[in-house]
Amino acid sequence: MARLHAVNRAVLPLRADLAIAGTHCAFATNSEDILSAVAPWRCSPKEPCSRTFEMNVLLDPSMPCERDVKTQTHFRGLHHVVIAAIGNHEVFAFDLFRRQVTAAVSRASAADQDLWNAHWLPIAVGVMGTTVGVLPLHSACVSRNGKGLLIAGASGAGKSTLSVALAQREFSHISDDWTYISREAGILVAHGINAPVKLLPDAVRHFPELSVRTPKMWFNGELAFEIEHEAFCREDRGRTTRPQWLVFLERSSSPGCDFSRSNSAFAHEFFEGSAERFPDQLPDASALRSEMIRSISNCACWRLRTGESPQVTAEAISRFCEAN
Amino acid sequence: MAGPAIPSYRDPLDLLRRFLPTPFRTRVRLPFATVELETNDLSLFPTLVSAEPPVEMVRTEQVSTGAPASISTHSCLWKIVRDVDVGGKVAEASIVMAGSLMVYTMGPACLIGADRDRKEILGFIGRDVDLSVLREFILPAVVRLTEYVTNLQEPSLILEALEVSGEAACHA
Repeated sequence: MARLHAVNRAVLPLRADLAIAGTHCAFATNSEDILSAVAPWRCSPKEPCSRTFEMNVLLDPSMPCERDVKTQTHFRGLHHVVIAAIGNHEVFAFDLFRRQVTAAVSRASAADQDLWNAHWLPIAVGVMGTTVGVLPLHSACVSRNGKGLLIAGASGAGKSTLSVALAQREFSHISDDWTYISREAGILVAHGINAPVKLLPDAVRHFPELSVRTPKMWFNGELAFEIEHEAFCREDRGRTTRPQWLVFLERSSSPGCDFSRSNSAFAHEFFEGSAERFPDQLPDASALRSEMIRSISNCACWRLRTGESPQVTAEAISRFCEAN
Repeated sequence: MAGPAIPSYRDPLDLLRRFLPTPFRTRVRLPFATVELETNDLSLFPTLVSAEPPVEMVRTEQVSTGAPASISTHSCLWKIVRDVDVGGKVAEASIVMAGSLMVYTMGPACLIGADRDRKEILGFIGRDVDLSVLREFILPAVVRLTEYVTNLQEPSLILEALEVSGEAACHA
């Protein structure tokens, strides 16, 4: 026997327009709990536009809900279709061609507000963003006086810990891992998502206050601390900024922080080379992504080799931003 | 059951396994459609022969990875991938219908998307899914989904054929 979920938007009675990291999500559901969970993202009603993707979520109260969402969510994709199976019953289907996310979830998922704010909505933007002109960029981002500093680098370079150290100084924290770039009236804008910051267990060396916390398992199987922005941000002035500087972070065994000027060709190659491979079936989205990467690569680019702690490196960056 | 001898696939820029190589291409003739099948696992093919309704395999060739399949206007594509990184048995089937896209899942070990407008059936089958499960559940479902993407049957009749539980059905 098969369990059918005919997710017909026309009869999902509860609607909301959501503004998420430069995208417009036309959200529909039959669950008051889910509608309440996505409330922090609500914006004024908008007509569908090139930034719009639909998200239709059906609560099936009869669906079994014995599962651990983070450890049992399984993602696969072919062509324009991405499917996420949560345990054995719950399903998210992402249709990149039609810019549509469709889901059937259990009562337990519907009631878990954190699940929507910290995971499913960010994941939806991560998967759908490129199709609506928003570039997910693997970089941290902080802001000072409205000027954004993007911190890129290989996994393990210390982007997240450095972003937290900067946020403990005079910088606003935009994002620790993924930053979303859109173009508003011809100007690039960097967006963060109010998801918890993820720090690996060894971050406790630099942030002793983490020792009272317990790391959690994330979707990718990593064990990490989950920290709310409020726990470490001195400044909280929203989640957007205009990218001004692009810093490529590299770990060094030598002490000190060394800034050297880089160029847009290096940045372009780095971002193109680290971007998720995109299906041939979506040439427009692929072209749009390349165009956005070219644009963001035109920021002032620097390479930063550091053998210092996040706090000392943050201090060096603070001086760097004052001088540049 | 021991999994098929397919190498594990790792590409840090392809976390969704979209570009998992499918070196084998076969044309399968159903009574109502001609299907271009792309797969990485030829052991799936014998099960097609005994599928109900019967299907005929007319051509098998190994091609270079990434070469696009040629689809005529009267055929559809099955891209069915053996996912050796996913173990475990199949679960109760679940169908999500969203416009022209129908998603048929049996837990992580069986994920299939059927796109009616694009005439494509795209699926991942876990390493522990054996021939009996393929024959009894998955291939018949794929054939029904093919009826859907080729507009042979009304969706309601196809869902009936997929044995939708009346009590569990939730028509929002």
